[in-house]
Amino acid sequence: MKNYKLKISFWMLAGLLLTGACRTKLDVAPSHLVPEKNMWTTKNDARAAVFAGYALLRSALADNNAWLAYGELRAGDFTGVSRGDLAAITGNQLTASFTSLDQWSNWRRFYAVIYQANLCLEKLATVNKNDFRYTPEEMKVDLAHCRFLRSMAYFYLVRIWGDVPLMKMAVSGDFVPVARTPQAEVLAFAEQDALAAAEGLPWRYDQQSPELLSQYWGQPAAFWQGVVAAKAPAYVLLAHIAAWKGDYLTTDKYTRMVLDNRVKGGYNLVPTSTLTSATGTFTGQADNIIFAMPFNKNYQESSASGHIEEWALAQPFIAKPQPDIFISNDSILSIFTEKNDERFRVTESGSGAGTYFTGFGNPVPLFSKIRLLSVSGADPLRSYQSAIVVFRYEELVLLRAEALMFLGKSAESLLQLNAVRGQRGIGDYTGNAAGLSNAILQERRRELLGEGWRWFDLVRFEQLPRYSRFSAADVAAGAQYWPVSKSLLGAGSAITQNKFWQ
Amino acid sequence: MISFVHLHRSKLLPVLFAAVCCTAESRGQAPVSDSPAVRSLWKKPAHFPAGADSLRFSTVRELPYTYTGQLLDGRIAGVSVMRASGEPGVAPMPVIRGLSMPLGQAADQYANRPLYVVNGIPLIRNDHPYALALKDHDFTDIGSGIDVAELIDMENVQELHVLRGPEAVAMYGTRAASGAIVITTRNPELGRYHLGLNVYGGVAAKPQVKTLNGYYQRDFLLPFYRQYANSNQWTNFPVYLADSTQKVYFGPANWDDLYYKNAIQHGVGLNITGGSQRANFRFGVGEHTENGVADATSLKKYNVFYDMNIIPVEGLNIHTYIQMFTARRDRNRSLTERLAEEEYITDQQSPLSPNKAYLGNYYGILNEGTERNIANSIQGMLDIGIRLYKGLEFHSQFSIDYNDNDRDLFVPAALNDNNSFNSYFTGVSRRVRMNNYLTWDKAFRGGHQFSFQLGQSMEEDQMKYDYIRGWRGPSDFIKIIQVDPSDNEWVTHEKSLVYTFKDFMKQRTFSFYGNVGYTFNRLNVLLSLRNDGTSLFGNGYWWAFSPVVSAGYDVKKAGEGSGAVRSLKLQANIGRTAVMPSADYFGYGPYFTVDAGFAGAMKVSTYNSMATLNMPFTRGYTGGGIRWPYNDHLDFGMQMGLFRNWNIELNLYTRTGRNLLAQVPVDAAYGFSSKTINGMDVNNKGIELQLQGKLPLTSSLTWTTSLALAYNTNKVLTLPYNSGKDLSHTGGRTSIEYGIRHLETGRPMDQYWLLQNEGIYRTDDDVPTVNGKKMTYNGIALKAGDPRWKDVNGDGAITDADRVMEGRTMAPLRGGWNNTLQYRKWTMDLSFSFAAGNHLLNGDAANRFNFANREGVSSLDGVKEITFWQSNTNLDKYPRYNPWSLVNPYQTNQDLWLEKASWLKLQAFTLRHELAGYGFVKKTGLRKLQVYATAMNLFTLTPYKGGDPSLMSFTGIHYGVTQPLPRTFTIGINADL
Repeated sequence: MKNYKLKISFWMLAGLLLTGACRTKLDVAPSHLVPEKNMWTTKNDARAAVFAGYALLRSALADNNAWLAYGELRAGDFTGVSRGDLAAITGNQLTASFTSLDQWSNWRRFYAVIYQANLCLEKLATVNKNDFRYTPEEMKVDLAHCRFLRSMAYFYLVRIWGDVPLMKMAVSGDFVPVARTPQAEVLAFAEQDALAAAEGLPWRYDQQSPELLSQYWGQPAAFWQGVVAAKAPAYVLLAHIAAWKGDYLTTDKYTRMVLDNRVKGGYNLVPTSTLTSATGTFTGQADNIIFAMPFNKNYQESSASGHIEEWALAQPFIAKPQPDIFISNDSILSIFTEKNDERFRVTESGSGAGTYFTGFGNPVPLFSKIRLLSVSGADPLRSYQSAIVVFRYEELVLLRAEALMFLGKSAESLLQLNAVRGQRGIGDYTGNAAGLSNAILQERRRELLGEGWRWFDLVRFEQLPRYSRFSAADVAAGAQYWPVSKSLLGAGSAITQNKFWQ
Repeated sequence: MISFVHLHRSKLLPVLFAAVCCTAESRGQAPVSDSPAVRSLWKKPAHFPAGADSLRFSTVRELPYTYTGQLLDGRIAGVSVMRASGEPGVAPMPVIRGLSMPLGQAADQYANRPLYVVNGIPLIRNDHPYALALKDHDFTDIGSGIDVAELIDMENVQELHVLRGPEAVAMYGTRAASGAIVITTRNPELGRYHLGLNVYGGVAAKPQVKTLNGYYQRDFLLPFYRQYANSNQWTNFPVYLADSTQKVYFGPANWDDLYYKNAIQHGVGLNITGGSQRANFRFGVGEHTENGVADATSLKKYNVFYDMNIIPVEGLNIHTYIQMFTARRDRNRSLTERLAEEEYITDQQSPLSPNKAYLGNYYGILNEGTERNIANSIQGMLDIGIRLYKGLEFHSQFSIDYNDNDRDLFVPAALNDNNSFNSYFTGVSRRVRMNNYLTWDKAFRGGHQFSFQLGQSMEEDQMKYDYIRGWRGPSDFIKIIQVDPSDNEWVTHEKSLVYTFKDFMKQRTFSFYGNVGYTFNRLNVLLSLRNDGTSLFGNGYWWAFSPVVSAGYDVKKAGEGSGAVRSLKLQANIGRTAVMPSADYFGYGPYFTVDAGFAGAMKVSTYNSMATLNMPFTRGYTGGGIRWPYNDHLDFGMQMGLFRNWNIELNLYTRTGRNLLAQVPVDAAYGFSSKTINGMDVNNKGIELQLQGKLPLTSSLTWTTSLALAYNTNKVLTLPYNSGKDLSHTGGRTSIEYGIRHLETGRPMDQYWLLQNEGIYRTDDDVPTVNGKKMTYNGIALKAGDPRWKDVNGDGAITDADRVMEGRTMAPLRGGWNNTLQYRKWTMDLSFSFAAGNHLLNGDAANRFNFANREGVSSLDGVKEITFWQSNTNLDKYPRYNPWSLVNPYQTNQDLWLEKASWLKLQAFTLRHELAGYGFVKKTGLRKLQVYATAMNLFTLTPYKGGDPSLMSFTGIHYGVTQPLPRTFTIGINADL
């Protein structure tokens, strides 16, 4: 009898176990990824997506110091010490067999920015619908940010590779290979984006601009100054796009707009000491910063790589016997030819003085203009927080000088040039009008040394044959551009290699 | 050879009912109500073969093995073992019947691992690919690196079966897609209490190595400098080699005194067992210590187990099994691993000194730091078996498997540019499993027998980790990280230099399964149907159906007739089994995550403190509609008994993986580096042969020999078509880059993709001119001092199109030969294992010659381990190219470095003497007293001269820095009271 009851009870238990198990679902929500259906539902999703675009642009520029490889190293001012890949770039042997060269030749990271921006442009309206706290005003500003990011990405792509694929929409799943589009068309598209961004962004995030009267994500103006897009960066971008095309009339227009409204944006020229100090320009937030990508250590964004210090510094600043790149003494002397230059000058005793270099006269002098270590004190960790400065006020002034010079307005151009020269202690330009072009080029070289401008300046001024191993014929064949990475040229790809690099 | 129909199952019947119904093999056996086979049935909850895919433990019990893989190597046909290092803490990985998935990156190893099942509990792993995603470099585990599933307690194991074909999934679910290793522990013994003791101790001999110092390196480098270097390159001659009066690098090369040592091994196992039919138990404790001969490594394991069976009421059986162990690992002091963990590369211009006076200082500083690697594991199971009616039984099994995996690391400041480094990792995995099934055996008149099984199981896995690391602690005496988050005050570390990570994953799996077995006369057939659903897939794709059919036919049974052929059985298995993916990134469709980092800062997740979420551009795009991949199996087997004492088993198999998830490259204009889709098909086919025989040589001398041989070949059948067409098997690419591998359809997945090296261009004129242009390599013109590479397609340019697929990483022919000689009370075992047909790339030589791109660079490429000062390969046979040439003349992927890596090892030698019969032993009352001596890894024969070719990572490139497998000699006593 007892046995029988026991059996029955066990049957029931078994049944219970079986049914109970089925009720639990197989639908387990993951915790380390956000499936698409859960995204775009709250205001914070919009914030996360837009700032992801910024982070991706920062990564595209910082990956293995790409922005320096593209803009600075090719020009030859810097020399490599022992690294073969850096020597290959300074010698313009861009197809040499190095992994880093292969990565620099790959434009994928810029297209990640574009994809993310395209996605946000489509989906931010969904957030607005789903979450009432995300106001239409904020959405407009975020959309303008996305257009700015997309425009910046295309601007870099065109300058580095020339003709590049034009992606106007985010595509889901069906990744059909895309061919290159002529750069004129891409630049026109970037120009439209930058115009829309300029229209939608405020001058400053101080709740005074009509474009955004509320606090941007609850932070004061000082928090956002210089590190996200605003009207001025959009205009400067427009000015640069036009300059790249050779349309200096437009450049003139936009540079004047920013200069005339600099008080609204809070921009100013800064003295040399601020330029090179540890709390100055290269923190990403200073008076002369128009747009920079920061690596603030307080937000745990500092890193060992992605900064020029990784390559340029050595003892006594960090525990590294020799830097990876340096500017030779002869080059220093040929770059800094003016007297009393606060950035670098030779004193009567023959030693070097100024804020740009340390150890002039040594076999390997250090380029110490940018020196933002994450830690202070003895034996610092090799971690840096210098920002990638994209646009700054001095560069804008010099761009205006360049535009005016190319338009033939020498006197006004001189005014701009002398403003920057005056800040750096070298006084007015005293040469003739014929030498103005070179003077502006040289001033850009000095002022923006180590910031990734030189190569693009040489292209705009058509001075490549003079300063690099390329002839005019080479330039016509596309030597100014980078080759495309091997991995982009695989079977099924619609991309062909740049003509010069084939 | 796998046979589904089962024998053990029908042994149950006599037990429970004393009824007469037997299958062919149990006919003639008296029903035994307490046979060990019966009691262990709950440990193997499904039909189970007792074929030759199981290991005879009598010949291996004395070997002081730590890992299951060591046990399987060369003893079971079809199992290859990959081992990256001979270090005690680094586990081997058994690969059953070839690779299931190509090995393009470290995380792909998870897809090739078999499932470990202990007493019916499928073990959860303690490492997981989602933790690998955290690091820039994925070549080491982020945690302790101790593989708890691989650890084996030799003392406690009764049987070990390797399921190689579709039956693995039919019995244990889709996690066993790459095979299953089923371990059954020893059963309690009935009767009075018995004590068992096994003690052994021994020593591993340190290897003899040839050491080098600065003179060697300088003499190696100088000819290159003299022949090719320009003045700039001369100024970069390594500083540490410049001054030969310095004893640091030019002193005696005696670093091996500190690095290699003879190492003690020991182990103790004590168990007590006893009880009555109604209640019996087995309890044991054990300790196993394996010290490594190199780099102060060791692995110590302490374990406890408890096995108890109770029959409270007739027809109700309750079994419990609990096993706990803790393992501690002293890890190698490899620089590469440490720097990869820290993600901070110190200056590499001065490598470690080969002079022990200076090296000792380095180790002294390192010892002031801390490194703890601990893995703990608990498995517990409760099984209730109820006999409901005649032939009808119900089992309910509940099990918990819990692991944790901890690593604490503190690196003193002096080693890190005067900034200390501190990190903690804790990973926890837990699986709760419930398995209920009903079995019914029924015999019909006429000799027809049926057995049915219907079951359901539910598993819930939870895995999580916490990882924190920080730099620049206040002093070397403070080895903890304490940050006060409430204010900006630091307690020990600066807030901005402390990084924390955590992750959590939950997975639920449901299975419904049913088997029908039919036996009649000589024929037995088994049909197994299984439906598994897992939460890893998105809605609608949860379930996967796996049908398996197995049929066997006894052509001749033992005892029938006469002739040379004693028995012959033919068998076939056909099935389609689903494959469970190892991570949950694929099943949820397109997703957003943190993936906005860059080289050197992969895990940066914010922009100006704003958290970011974007699509996984670097990790790879996943679309919706990812489905279960599956394997199609077809096995044919033959089991033949020859004469009186010989058995042959031959298996022919083909396993095709279909719809496998592969990461295919995507056009970069979309921003994604790759895309994961179904659609890759690979095929493994092969032959397994197991030959066993017993030869009585004289009246008291017997020689038992067994040869296990497996030949496996694999091929990539289809590569996914990545342009939107769903699951295309017809079109598609013929080749893709898959991690570090290049895959081509129609070729094996483990081949190398190499340029063919034909010598050197002595002068510029030697370089051929094609179409008016000198030959180029990727656009760079070839010059004097560059390698002569074969231009396969004749286009005048050496590019990837000129690379050919050559060699094999996994040996096609793998096996072992095991012998036992028995003479009265003495037994001697001799085990050989061998591999043939495999190759490797000599990465050590390639790195030494590629010094121009590696010397002193501040990245992992520039790191020189202490074993850099050890001579492995004879470097004279390689040509002298211009190392600074932009064509990368000494690149690893060329056949200059390809070497044959076949090997033959004398794996183990055991000598045993049974003392039980002697007079003095009888007085003590010992049932069994055995003394034994073993010797392991006695010699290796191989054409490869650069080290042990069996120790290699999945990349197939041999760097010569791994710790060798030492010659180990142990003696031990096995006593049973």
